[in-house]
Amino acid sequence: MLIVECKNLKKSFPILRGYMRDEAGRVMAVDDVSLNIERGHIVGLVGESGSGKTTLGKIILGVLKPDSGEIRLGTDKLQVIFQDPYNSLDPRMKIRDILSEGLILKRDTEEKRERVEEMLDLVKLPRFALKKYPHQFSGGERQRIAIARALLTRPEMIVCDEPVSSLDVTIQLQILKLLKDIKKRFNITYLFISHDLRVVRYMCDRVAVMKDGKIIEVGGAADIYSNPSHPYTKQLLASILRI
Amino acid sequence: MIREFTRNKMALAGSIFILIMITFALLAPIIAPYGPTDIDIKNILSAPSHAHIFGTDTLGRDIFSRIVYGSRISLSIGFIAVGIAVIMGVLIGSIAGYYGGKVESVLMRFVDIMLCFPTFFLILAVIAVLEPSIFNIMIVIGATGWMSVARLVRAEVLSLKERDYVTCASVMGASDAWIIFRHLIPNAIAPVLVSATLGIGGAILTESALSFLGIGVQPPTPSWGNILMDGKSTLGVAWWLTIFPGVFITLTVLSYNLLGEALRDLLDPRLKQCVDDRFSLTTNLTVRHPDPE
Repeated sequence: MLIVECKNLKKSFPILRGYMRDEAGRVMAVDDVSLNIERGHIVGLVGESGSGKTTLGKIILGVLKPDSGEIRLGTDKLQVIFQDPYNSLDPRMKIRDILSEGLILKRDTEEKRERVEEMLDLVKLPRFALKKYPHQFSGGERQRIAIARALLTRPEMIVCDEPVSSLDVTIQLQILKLLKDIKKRFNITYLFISHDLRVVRYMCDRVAVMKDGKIIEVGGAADIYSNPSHPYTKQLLASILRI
Repeated sequence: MIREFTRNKMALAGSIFILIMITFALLAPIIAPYGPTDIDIKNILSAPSHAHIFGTDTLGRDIFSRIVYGSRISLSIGFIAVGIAVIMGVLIGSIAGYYGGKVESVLMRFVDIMLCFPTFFLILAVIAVLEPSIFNIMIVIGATGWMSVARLVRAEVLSLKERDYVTCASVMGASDAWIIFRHLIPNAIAPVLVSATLGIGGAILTESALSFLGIGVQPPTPSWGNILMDGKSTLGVAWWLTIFPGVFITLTVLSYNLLGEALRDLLDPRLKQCVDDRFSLTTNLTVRHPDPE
């Protein structure tokens, strides 16, 4: 069963120049993209910076409207986890308020306190964290808070936009394991955006490769890694081996 | 942060003076030895003495008592006028910054137009039409002082609205009002605080100038401006009528300016604090800044 169905999505941004902000041209961030995501899968979206991964993620989240094309969602319970945990938590709010925000917004405040505390246990943070502010935590801890916030509203799908690329390697593994655990427990679908092919191989069932706003190759993760068909994918894979 | 603040001697002196003034205003009946309009016919225009430490005016009223009661008027006009300016500025600035496009163009052009008026003469004209009451003065000073706050807040909101926590809130279904009031305004308020503190001094000065010209607070209610006005006809024989209220106006405005500048120094090199925070948390690498002393 499909949870996301994108058909011929296009999104461009204007390039503005000069004092009068004249439009000097348009950059195609997402150029004729079709992508289906099966419920319960972890789909990786890989590509270099500027290839349109994040824009596609934002279109699926409904934050950006596509210029043309069609998008059909099998759920309205979407959530998001961002790359930069310094930027994704409001510095003026205590952790308790950050975590409860989604529940309040969804008018789902029954047993709010208990659910917030349970979720904190799940992401392995101590209870006293609730009374603190985001700047009192490390990057990995903040990412756990962001995960807890995403899970509290019981989403059916989470868009993870580079969730581990700002963390160091040992913390990366902890967070990835946590995300996998959660997937098993709650059967959540992930769209996993990353430029790190090793992380994607560890996480994903299917992989879509993006370049210059286009999806150039989609397939099972194992297939793509063992037998890439597009020259760009081969190039990407060759670049991990070199590291 | 508090230690850094107390190290700034001038700002400390300013805040102490402001606290004294607030105490004066709150406890006026206890602190003032006479009522603000009590007339002592035997002591008209008497020089500072034990009975009247700041002397008396042409009607034999005690200047010190009038200054103490006048602090109520001056301070409350300062606070409330700036309060009005801040509320208007924050609302208009955050709406302009958040919505952008046509809304922003219209609102910010309105700000530009308001900034073209010479403020003091605008206030004079408005007060000439309305009657000069304390209430009207507060509103008029407030309504002509919000533009700089609006610009500040708009600039802050423009960068804040791109933050991931705002995107996250809107994915979770937050309304525009929720985003503006819960996320954008609380994060944009620090520079507004500085501008408000500096603004209080300006508002007190404007009120004094209006009262001095006779279109501000009306006698017999004492305000620092109209005590000053009472003194101008007798400046040659009774210096105390002019000097004392003048000193209080000057010191109060100076104190707010010192406090405001100290706050700005604390908050404005925001980068300094943020960088410190980040580095010490992620890499245990604390950036030490050379001590200013």
